[in-house]
Amino acid sequence: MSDIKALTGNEAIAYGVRLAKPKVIAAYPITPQTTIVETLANFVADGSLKAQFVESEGEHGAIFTVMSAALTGVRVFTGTSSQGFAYGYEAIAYIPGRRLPVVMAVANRPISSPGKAVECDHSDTMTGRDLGWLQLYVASNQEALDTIIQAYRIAEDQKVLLPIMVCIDGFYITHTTEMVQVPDQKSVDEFLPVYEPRHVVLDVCNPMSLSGGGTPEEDMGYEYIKNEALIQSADVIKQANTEFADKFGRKYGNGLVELYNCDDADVVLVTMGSMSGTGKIAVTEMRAEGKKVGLVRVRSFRPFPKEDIIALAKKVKVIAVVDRSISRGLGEGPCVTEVKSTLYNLEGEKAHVIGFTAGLHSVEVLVSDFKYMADKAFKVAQTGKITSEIEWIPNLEVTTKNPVPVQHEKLLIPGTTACPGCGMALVVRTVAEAMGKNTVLVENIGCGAWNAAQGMGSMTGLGMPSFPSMPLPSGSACATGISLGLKEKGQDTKVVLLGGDGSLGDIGFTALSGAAERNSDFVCVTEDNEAYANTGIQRSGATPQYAWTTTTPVGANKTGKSTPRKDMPLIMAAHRIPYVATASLAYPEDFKRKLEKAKQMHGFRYIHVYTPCPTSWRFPPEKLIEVSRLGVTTGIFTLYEIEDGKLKITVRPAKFKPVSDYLKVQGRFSHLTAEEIEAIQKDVDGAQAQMQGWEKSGLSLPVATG
Amino acid sequence: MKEVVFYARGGQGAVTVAAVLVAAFNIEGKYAQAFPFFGGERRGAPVKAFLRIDDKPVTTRGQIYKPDCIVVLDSKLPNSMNVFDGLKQGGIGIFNSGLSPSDIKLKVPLSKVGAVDANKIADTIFGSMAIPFTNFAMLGAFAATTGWVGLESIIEVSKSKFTGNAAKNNEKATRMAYELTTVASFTVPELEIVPIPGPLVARKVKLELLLGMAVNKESTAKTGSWRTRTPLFANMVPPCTDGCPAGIKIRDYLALVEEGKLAEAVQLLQEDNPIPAITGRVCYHPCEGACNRKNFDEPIAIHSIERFVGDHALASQKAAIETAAGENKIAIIGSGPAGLSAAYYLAKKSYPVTVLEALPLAGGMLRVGIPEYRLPRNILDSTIDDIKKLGVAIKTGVALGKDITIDGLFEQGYKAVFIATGAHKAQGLDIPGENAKGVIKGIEFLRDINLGKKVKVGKKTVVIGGGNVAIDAARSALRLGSKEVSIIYRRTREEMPARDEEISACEAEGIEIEYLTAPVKILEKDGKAVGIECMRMKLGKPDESGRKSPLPVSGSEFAIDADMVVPAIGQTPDLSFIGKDEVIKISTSGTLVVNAKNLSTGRTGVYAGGDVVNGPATVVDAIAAGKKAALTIDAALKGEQLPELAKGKVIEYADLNVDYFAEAPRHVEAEIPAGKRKSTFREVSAGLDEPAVMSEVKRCFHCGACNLCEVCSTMCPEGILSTRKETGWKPDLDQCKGCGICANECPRGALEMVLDR
Repeated sequence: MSDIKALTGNEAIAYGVRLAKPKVIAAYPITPQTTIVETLANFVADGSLKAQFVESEGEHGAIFTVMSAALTGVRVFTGTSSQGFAYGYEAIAYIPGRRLPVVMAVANRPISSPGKAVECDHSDTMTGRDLGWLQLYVASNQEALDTIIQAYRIAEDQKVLLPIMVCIDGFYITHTTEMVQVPDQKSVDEFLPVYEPRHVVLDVCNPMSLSGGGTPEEDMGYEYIKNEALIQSADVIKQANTEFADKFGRKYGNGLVELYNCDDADVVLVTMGSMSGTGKIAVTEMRAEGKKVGLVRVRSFRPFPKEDIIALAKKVKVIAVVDRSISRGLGEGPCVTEVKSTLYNLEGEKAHVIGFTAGLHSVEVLVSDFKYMADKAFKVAQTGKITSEIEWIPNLEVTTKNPVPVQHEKLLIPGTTACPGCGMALVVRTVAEAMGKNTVLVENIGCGAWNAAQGMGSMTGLGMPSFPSMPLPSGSACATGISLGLKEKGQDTKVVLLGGDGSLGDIGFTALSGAAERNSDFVCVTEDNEAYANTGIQRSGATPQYAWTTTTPVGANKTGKSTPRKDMPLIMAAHRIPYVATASLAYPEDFKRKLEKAKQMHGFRYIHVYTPCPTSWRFPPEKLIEVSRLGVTTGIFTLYEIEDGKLKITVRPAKFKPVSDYLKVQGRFSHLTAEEIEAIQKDVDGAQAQMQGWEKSGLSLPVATG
Repeated sequence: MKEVVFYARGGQGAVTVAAVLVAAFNIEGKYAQAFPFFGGERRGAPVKAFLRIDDKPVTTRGQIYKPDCIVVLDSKLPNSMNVFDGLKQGGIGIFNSGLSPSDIKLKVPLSKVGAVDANKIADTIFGSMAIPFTNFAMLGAFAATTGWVGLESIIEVSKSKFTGNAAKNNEKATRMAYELTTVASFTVPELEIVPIPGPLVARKVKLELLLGMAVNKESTAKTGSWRTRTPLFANMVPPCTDGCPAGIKIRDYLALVEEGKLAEAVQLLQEDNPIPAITGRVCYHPCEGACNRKNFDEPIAIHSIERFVGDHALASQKAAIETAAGENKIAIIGSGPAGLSAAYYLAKKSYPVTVLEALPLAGGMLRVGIPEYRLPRNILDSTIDDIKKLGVAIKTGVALGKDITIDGLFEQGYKAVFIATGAHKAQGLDIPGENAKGVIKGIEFLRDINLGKKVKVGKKTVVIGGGNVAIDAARSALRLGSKEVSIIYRRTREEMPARDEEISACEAEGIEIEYLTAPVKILEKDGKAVGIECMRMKLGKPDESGRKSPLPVSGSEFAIDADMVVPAIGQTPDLSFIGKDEVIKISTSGTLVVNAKNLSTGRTGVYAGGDVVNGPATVVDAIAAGKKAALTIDAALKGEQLPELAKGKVIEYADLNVDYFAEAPRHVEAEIPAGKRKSTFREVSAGLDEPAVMSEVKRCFHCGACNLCEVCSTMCPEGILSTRKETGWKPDLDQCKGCGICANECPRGALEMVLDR
């Protein structure tokens, strides 16, 4: 018996994952995958999913975590998208060799080159098509749920034992709500046998060690068997598809491809993902006009459905392949390339092949576009000649020019996309005003960069040269590069890096630490709003204990974030950089003085700004400054500076207010019990006593030896 | 297939509405798909959500460009964006609006328009424009207007999605809206003929791009459209003004003093108080009692600042006018504060005014009730002189009822008469021995001193009473040489009506006050007072004055020595001038009855105010009455109505944001040391010098008024608030998102966020 629910594509995946009962889930939030992870976090919190849920510090870590968990013999799950896919690429490349049935959902989104590109296309998973993962592309919310369940069945099959990506179009499927049948647990348990690895496992009862590689021939041999297994998995995919249909009543073509109106077609369109649905409408309409057109939806891209393509090519006159990604320099997308390569040596009469590059970066592919494409294919069918092999849809007439420098009057141009009452906007404004025009601003992507410092569309919100939307891990490295380049050019321009607690403290910490250790010459300003706000309020390493976030929800089993937040300023001070300071929006003179000071210095300067966020912390926007002040007057956050290892407290409340004054204003703490509040109070009292002690005795940092 | 576009603001759950409909359509066997606009959703920013409905599974995905129906969830959105973009002719429009459907301005001819005031429904249920309830109301409107899905299906879905009160209220909202939605149907004109598509041509897009993805254009987004509430001046009344019976604009004249604009400060102050040099010395300053700063450290020393400004006014040059230019001459009886005030304001309006004073010297209680050491004579004389300089004539030695009558004044051509004769008749004790020698009523004692008569005092003076007259009598007796002076009062210090400073000064000068003591009998010997038989009192229930009534403690009689007894237990007006046939009424407490709004006595052209109406009250009440009389008389003579002044909301301490203020001690006036001043009538308080005054005015919180302190402009996240002197406080309303930080942080609570409804 199944339950029919209105679910988004992401929720459907989470429901599918829950039914498969993985034991370890690790992920890092990235739009448009976030709600998969958040829904699973809620399932774990309410006890309906009994699994270990890891809020990883980045995709590189998250994917390695699930891989290693899989090595102990448990079922796992992870999900990512675009930039996260790129950041975790090393881990993704690593897994097939270990022959582990990791299931990963990928919300298809462009790997930006450059830019924030929070849109849909297939370029992310396409870059990983050679690594040895299976790749299935779904076209609906129902298929997303069903394919997750099938994915475990396929990946864990003894003939396969390879990781599998379930690819789901970002936004078009991830964020669209439809009615989805959710199978019952019993039926899924019957369909999915328990995972029992018989090959590699880390288990003291069956001890074995893993090697890092063999001789060149052995290593090449590993590639050989991977490749073979992946090719053979096509049968398993088909089998799973049939078995699933028998049990649950839903079938997806033959598992590898889905044919629509192809029987007597002269021309077929080949598509992948959500655009297939639109294509089907075009085909239906054209058939009504008597045109003999069909549509083939490629579901399995790896293994590539060679046999099905060959069979098709023998029947139809023209195959028109629509790619939602492009191989730059080759001038066409991977699907058309692989179709052509499959057919090249085929003897006898076979179809012509033309290609279309469409739908990059979420550009819509309309019914009329499909009709146009089919029409072009019909022309080829009639004339037997191909006039243009590849066409971009829509046709783009682009002129380029070099940018002309513009002197802006204002430092911060209002009309940004920040939420009303945004603390980061005030930070950006204060920093911009203090630093002045002779500054290059680098911003890690996040609310601070995306919203507070950027206008809508391709417009700027800043009056000095800026480099916004840096991928999260990179900001510090970029600031290093800019400062060195400017130095070589003999300019005394200041370089300032703005980033959030997530980008600098978690995923970008490696780069931050490296830049600090090298004493790179820039000012790093952390806008600490204690969460990943821009992607929808997920936890970061700076999220305080007990705080609610979407990945640390409150439920029967969980009471917000389970661990205390890490102390970034002190960690940075341990790098023995010339200047570390903390600041708060409620004390603008103190903040500005510290910025002025940092501006005059050289080397790596670090300012950590306590930046409440009305949206994430759940308080009305007008209370931004009030909450900022309470953070200091209750002793939660101390304003100080550390110069040459000496700590000096710069704002000293005459008397500390009770922490409950601070906690009760914020919805993210509304679930706290009296015991938890007392624990926080004790913590704060202890930290303050420590601070006072350090100031008196001097916070002396260890001298590096050896 | 039908396509619907929802218009809402970011963070308001428009997608939830669409998602509920997906499930609702499913119950009825239809297929539906809902999704948000695929960009980041910012709180408050206008956003769209989409819905597709069909009888077979919906397979297409992507934005809807030509909807069949639009649903506008936020009532203000049509003002800032085109919600009709792409809407098909003959389609359906559903609006959150208080207008009737035929009044809604359409940009596209529609076949049906549905409207419901969802904000009002949400208000009814929740008491505020709670967004979720607005949205659930719009679900009801959707069902009612389109008829595409049933109400019960929607209710079933929302019940399964929400629990508890939320579910109940959502259902309520949906059902209410379903009933209240008004739907209008229209016949649509001939639709445009859609041309048959010709040979398929490729879609083309032209772009001009900058290499390296550079950006040069400045953001032109007008995020003011996100706003649902606007910062505005709240225009609240500061407590000092509210507490002042004369409604002096204290905060504002203090601000002028702070800016060094003394002349303008004088002008503003004298709009409501013509005699500030006097009130700065003698007023009981309820403004300080109301001052919000009292909750922070100490109230502003307003009286010291007023004295300083008043003295400056006296010292300034003025041109003198012989007689006023106007025609209607006005008679004022009594040259006390009420009479002088009325004269001032009428003269300012160019009325020829004559003040008639019974006593040989002008000033009323200011002259004969308040001693020199509190109010120096030169200050009083200069004040009266300045009023004369406005063209006011003051005639002394003219008593109403004896030398002149009201009838007589009208016969002389006066157009109006203001009776301000005060309350100078001393109340008797009604105890035996009251008429013995050595017993002199307090008010008469003070009058004699102040009119320059030679007054003898006893060795041991006992004053009976607790008001300022009693205190002044005691302190004057001391200065005149009485060796021992004491006061007996029948209640405790808390109930004493005298000003706190006077009581303290009195004690400092060595005058003992015996509380809970009342006189029973004045002991005489040979017709001369030798002592008082007293009785102890205890406090009982409050009387009509609100103070606890004194009850005698039986058997507690005791005697005290006294060779001078000064009863000072109150005064009443002398109303002997009121004839038997007078229209003017007298109250049971012996005061004149007037219409409180316009001070009219009931006799045409005759007005009264001050102590003659209120009984013994304060100088500032008299000043207020004088001004009111002037305005009333002016209005009456012009045939106009006296304007009604709306009472504003008073700004309280909780409305301020005191985190921006630092503690600072209040400046205290220097005084002649108690020991030294006992033998002189020289002024006791020295006032504050200019540096002290300039320092004290800085302590003023400036409650409710903007003084360009720049807190708001510093804290505005996007810096769209200007607080420059040239422009004053000015938000850029094209960009203001209505976050409310400025209003929340304003140290003086000058701003409020007004909801755009």
